Amino acid sequence: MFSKNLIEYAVILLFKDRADHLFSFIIFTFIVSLLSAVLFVSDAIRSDLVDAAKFGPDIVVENTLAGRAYKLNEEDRESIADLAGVSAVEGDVEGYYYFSQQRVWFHLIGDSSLSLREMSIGEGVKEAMKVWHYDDAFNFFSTQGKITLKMLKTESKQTNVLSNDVIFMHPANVRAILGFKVDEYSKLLVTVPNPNEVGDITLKIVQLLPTVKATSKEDIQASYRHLFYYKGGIFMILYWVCTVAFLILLKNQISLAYGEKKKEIAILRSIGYAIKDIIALKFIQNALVAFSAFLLGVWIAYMYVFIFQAPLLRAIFLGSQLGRSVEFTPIVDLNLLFLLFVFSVIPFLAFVIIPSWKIAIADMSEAVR
Amino acid sequence: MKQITVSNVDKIYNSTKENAFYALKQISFEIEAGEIVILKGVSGSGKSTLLSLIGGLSKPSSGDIIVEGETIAKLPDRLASLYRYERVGFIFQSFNLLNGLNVYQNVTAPLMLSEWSASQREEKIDRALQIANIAHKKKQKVSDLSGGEKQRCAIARALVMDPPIILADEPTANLDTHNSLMFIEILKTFKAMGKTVLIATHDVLFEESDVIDRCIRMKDGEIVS
Amino acid sequence: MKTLRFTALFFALAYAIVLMHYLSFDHRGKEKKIEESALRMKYVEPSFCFKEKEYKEFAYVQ
Repeated sequence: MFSKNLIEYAVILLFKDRADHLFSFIIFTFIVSLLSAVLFVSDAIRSDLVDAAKFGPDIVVENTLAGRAYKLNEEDRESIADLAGVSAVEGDVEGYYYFSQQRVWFHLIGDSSLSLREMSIGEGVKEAMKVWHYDDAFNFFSTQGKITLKMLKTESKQTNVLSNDVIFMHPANVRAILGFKVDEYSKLLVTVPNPNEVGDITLKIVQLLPTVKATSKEDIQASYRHLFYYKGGIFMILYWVCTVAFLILLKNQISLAYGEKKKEIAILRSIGYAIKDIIALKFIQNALVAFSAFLLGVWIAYMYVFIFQAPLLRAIFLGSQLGRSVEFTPIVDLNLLFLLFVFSVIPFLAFVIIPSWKIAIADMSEAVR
Repeated sequence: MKQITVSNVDKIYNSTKENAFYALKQISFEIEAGEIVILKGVSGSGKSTLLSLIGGLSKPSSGDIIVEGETIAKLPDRLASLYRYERVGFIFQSFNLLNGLNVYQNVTAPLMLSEWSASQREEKIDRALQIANIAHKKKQKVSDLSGGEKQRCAIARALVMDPPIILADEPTANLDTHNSLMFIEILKTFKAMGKTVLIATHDVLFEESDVIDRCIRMKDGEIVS
Repeated sequence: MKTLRFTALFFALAYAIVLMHYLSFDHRGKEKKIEESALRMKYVEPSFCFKEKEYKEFAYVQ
């Protein structure tokens, strides 16, 4: 495509203007690493949640009153179980317990494999309890009195994105702590064997029990895919930083074709370089800068997110508590990286090649006098 | 043998506007191969415009320029570039070197369009540097050179492709007398090499030199003698 | 050309580290742990907002 000699001379000229190109290189690397890091973190979290949601029920039913979650009862469970196409409805008891000393909420989940005196806790819960010297056991206070449970084990750090604030305990303990009677549930988990019927049955449940909210597995997975609100808050700031940096970068690119560079193009034209040779020179130089900056940016982002576990950035995604303890699963979405490549490298090259071409086609006799 | 034939050449700037300016009017002349010719005239007389037309840097508004039997006035960019690359060496008043590069890297510029190997290029560059008497400054940045050295670097670059035609635009305007005389000495080498040289200048030193074969005088875009 | 070769070598080494890290990560193991946890939790909710204001008013507001 390009001759070896032309590539060599493009590199010589690149090093001649190293200060200008270095500026472009640094800004480009910064933009690519920032956007790739955001991409890696969100993909890693999303992939764990979407994986987890695969094992969820086909439909989750919650009761609502004035827009808030409310208890469901045995009659509700039975009426849903009677619907054609539904094979099972399981009543689930879970909810939040406020640990007032530390001002955090624990997510209590029933697990019948645990005995009545034990509990299994997430990493974040362990840390919160430890602050108040609950090292082996914890006291829950309810309307029925104090319930003391022994800490049997801590959940694996790898599942922190799900279990950081979770306490697994026997369902009877959850009921006692949260004040649920035997025939009351926080959620109903519906099993529908035929996936094509899930949508219809979801509607039927809402028709049957107008105050409930029924969410299909597909909707839950979709909500995890769109978990982060990219149009708001800190993301908007990140985009603005990237946009401003990119505009500065493009301005620098344009300047690489004007001023002293304009004369340089005229000199090269006068010694026999054709328009296509000038464009090839500029393309080689800037493609080298763009490719290296892109590769370095993605590499830095990978190291930052998956090896150093994204200090600073993780708190934006996970909140300050969970922020410390999640291990990101390395997920590299090549499609999105390619999209990022196309939308960054093409303008980067265009903003130097088009002005260079315009200068190269102009009458050069004045410029070289 | 006629190497350059210029016939009825006009160059009009802003030809479609009211302030159209005739830089050259009906210019015609011929130059034999191996001749050293000076174009003499005051600033604005059209010497540099004529050189840029012969060098294929710009195109005439009308008329014809034939070099070695080939019309170059209407060549498309690719062929005009090839013509400059193979047949013309330029020496400019302001040297037009690539600052930031060293002498070697400046002289190598035209060769990088070829497929020659590094050793082949080295050989050609060394030869050009020897002729221009600048080989000892090969690795020096051109921004650190004196005016005379820059001029010699520009000469080496013009010679490196061994073109039959050398075009020089006010080559001694930025030089002191010593360096101007050195340039005239180099013209003798050009003559010995059989190069056709066309120099636009108003320096009297050239008229005093016996190396010059002919002088074409220009005034207000026309040849006066 | 030496510069280009050096740059290519640098990126080859850098990406070899990335590839090694990616391949050595126990994706299957983590998937299994998540599966176990998800099956126990039945209904999966991200554990993000431990301390956020959404939790302050009522237990499980969506």
